[in-house]
Amino acid sequence: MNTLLGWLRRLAVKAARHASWVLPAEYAAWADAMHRELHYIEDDRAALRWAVGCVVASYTKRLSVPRQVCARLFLNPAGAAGMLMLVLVLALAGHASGQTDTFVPAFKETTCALPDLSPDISARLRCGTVTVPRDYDHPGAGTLKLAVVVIHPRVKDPQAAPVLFLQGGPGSPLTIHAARIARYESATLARNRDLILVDQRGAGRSEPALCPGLRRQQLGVFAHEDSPDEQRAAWRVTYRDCQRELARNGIDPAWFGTRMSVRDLEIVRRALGVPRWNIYGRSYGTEVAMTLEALYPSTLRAVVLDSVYPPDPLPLTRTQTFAAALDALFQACRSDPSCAAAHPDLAATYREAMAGLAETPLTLALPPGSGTSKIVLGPAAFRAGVDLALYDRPLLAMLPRMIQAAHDRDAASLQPFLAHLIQQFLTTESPGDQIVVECRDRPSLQALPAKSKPVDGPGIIDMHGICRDWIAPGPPALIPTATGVPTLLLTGAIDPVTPPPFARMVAAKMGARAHVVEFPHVGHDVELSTPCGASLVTQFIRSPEAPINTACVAEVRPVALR
Amino acid sequence: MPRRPNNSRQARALLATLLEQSPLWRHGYGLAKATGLKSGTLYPLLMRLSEQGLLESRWQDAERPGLPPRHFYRLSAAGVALACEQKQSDAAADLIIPPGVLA
Repeated sequence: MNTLLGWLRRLAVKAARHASWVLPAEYAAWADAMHRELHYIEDDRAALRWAVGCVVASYTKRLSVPRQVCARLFLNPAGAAGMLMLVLVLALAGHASGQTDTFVPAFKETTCALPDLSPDISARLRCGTVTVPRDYDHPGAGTLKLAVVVIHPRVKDPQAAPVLFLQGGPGSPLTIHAARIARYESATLARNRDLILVDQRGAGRSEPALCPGLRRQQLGVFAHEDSPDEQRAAWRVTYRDCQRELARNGIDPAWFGTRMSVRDLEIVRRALGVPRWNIYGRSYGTEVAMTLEALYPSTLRAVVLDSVYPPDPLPLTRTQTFAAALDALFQACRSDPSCAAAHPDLAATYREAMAGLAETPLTLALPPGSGTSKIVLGPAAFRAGVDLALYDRPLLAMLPRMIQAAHDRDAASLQPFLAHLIQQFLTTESPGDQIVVECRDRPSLQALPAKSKPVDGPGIIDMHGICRDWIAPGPPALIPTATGVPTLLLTGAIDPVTPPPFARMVAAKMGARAHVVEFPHVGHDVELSTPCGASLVTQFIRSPEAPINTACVAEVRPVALR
Repeated sequence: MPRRPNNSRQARALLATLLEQSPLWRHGYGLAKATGLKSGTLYPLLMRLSEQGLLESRWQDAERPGLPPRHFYRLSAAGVALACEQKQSDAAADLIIPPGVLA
């Protein structure tokens, strides 16, 4: 072993020398710089990877001066030897990083300990766990059990490839909803096919639990803190508390990220004995799906991306996407006769509501079972509630009334809205999983706090810098370039978080096999929002090569605002 | 949309990392670790930023004897200005509630 490592180090040095040779003379100082870093890298494998990178860097730089490439590389025997060296070094680097996967994928069946089961549904569910390595760089160092549920269709086509359902969040629980999905959604997403639900690592019923009390603690911020500044500071404290909790429990954030989840899913696929599958990805799940598509395209038959959430950098800020969706609501109210009559200037009503809450926050008592006994509603907390409501057509329908109630300081009318939103807030995510995954995925979250300025006042949740003193970014999520996999992207025109520009950006990179369908009057989660969206998913999964019939899209009605 | 210079994900990550530590000097290996970029991506970027006058570099003697001098980098004034500009537009992190599913 020692001989091998010594050999690796010598190879690294040779590679670095080759890189120096390849770089044009004017970059000699850079060549030295790259080479000398080797002396400061103690681990031999890391040194070899560094040196391989130097070779790549030097060719990259060289190839930007194309005339000289041919002369040096092909007329000079040393150049040809250099190319062979590059191939050899790359091959060895792959071998040296220990890629032999000794992990044997296996599905361990368990009883279904799930809510809302009935005999007909239980008969269709197969529950169990798949074990994956905690840390892919050290496969021997501990494992995680992922919760998996396979939903069989009522009538199964044995030839049909199953559908993998990738949930949002990151961190939204999925397998716990298996019974409801089996009753109401599986026929849409996976007619005559198996539908596979997986809780990604750190989410739902999968290991590990990441700061399970965090969401309640965050709700407490709204209950106890009186000013936006205090709420913002308290919000950040909840994450610092989570950071300490993870450290105490020996949970390393570096185990997380979209790239890790994708590797897990490959193990799940093999554990279930599935040669090829389809994916329905929703919201954050689209980021996982597109990364899987980039890395393992041969395992995929077709992919649906519903409400597309791309890797960094996002083309629009969250402030911008929220503002656009809110404007769309105001516009829709103007165009709806009964809304326009009830709210002649909803935009002004919203502004006045926010100003009023800024001057004097409204304290609302909530009924038992709401998760908290009171909420201190300032402008930022109210905006967070409006944002949540914008995701969802039924809530969107009631938003003008909710805005009016905030304006009028009508606590009685606001109460049921808030109680409902709080339930959503508490149950739809694991914020611990969300923060570690987003910090690993998004270098943009490393930057120091920015003085972002939403038009209507400071944001409540300033995530800038949360990651910086805690979690370094890992390998990023990916968008496939010129994909060979038929891919359908669904996007709602009034989505407050993943609007159409995101889908269009991803589709442009994916190329001709990717098709975007934009739905007017629809927000987040197209398949859930409109039967037309659902029918397109069914149609596409059935025949991914056929042209998509989008006739129903023109029939989607505006939300009936009340 | 036409490609703006220094607007790739990698370039933005590098600029943001350099801005954080500005005006301290950083070495290549440290930048690779902080940004997650491999040397093959990092160095062409550093070279380009230097050519554009956005990056300063200098040699520093090793702290321990027997080791060669090492190359260190930091943003120039122009580089700081560009990185700040990019950070303003990165108010993407002012997430209200990041994407989830209201299922």
